Amino acid sequence: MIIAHVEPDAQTLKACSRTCRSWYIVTLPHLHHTLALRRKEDRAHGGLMPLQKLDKMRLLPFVKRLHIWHCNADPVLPSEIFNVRGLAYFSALTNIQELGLDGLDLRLFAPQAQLYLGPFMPRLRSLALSWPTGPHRLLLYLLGLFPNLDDFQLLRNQDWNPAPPDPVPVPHSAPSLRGRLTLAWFSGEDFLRYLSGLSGGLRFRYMDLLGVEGTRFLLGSGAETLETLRVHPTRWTGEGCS
Amino acid sequence: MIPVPASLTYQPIESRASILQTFDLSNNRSLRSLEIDLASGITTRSSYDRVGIIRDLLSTVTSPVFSEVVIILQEGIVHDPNIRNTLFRAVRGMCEVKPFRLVFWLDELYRVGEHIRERFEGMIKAQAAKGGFGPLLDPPVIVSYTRGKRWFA
Repeated sequence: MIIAHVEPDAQTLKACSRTCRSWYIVTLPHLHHTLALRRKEDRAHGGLMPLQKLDKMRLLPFVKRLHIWHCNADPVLPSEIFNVRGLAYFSALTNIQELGLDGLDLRLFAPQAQLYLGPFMPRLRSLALSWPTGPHRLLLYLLGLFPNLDDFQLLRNQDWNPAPPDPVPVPHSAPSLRGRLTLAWFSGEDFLRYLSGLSGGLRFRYMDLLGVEGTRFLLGSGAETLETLRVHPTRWTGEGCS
Repeated sequence: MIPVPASLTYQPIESRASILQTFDLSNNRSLRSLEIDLASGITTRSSYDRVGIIRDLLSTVTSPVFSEVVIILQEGIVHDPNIRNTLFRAVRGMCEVKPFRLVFWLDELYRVGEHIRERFEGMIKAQAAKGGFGPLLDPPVIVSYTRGKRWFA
């Protein structure tokens, strides 16, 4: 119980795990709760080294949060992480509940998303996307792959070419989206309205909104459900704000 | 970082009036807590002045279950008396609108050490003791928390 409280402190957890066998067993799920894959850092193995290490020790089922980072200006290329070897490791990640993807190129990713993310689909509760590129309809398609998705985070969406590819895939299902919504520097109220229609209303309990086009719509959608709102007044720079 | 053309990034320049219109909370019936993040971005004394808008924003809250305001801070608040006084003045203004439980959240992303936390706690207790926050539901609470749980800062 106490060990669960030191979870963000990896050094303390490691020290606890060396104390005795029973403490080792208790700390294991906390030590391996989060796995971050950083591409380019490990070119020879395509950024899959952490997965390989955990797989050898049969620790992959302990991972509940997976974060795939980009380390430079290139967006995440599916072939570097989502190759045959990577997918084999992913199939052993049977308890992933939170997934973070940085710099995702939706045009490259979405057509194969079902194949890449198949092992995570039933259990995924939280999806965080930072700097994704591509049309909003592909983003909707991606969200539709996770029927039990409650939390959604999106940092700075961008679309270099607004024209969607043809044909645009139809979302498989409606994510539940009843938990936490974090949006930062987001444009696309139409996307929010479409997502609301798809999910039967956006009834988040928590919203963290920074520079969001469609804030009024979101607050209106959550009129009966929103319990906590986070605002960022230091970013309000307009006339009369001081 | 990926370069983003300015035209593709939504960066609203909002006036006080439009912010209050956007964040009008009069229709939200279940709102319990308002979190005010003063830890993200570059904060100066003038940015703490903007907390004054929250007073007007709070006056739009009609939720019968509303009971808490959480203020998220950087450790700079401990070192700069001007910033601190500006914040305390703004908080007092908020407390005059409606009573609530006040929580100060020191953001561990900025490596808030134990001694910083203790100093800040002393300042808050002193301010509360002289009634500097106005009417509160409970004595102010200080928590520190890492952003490790968040995916991006």
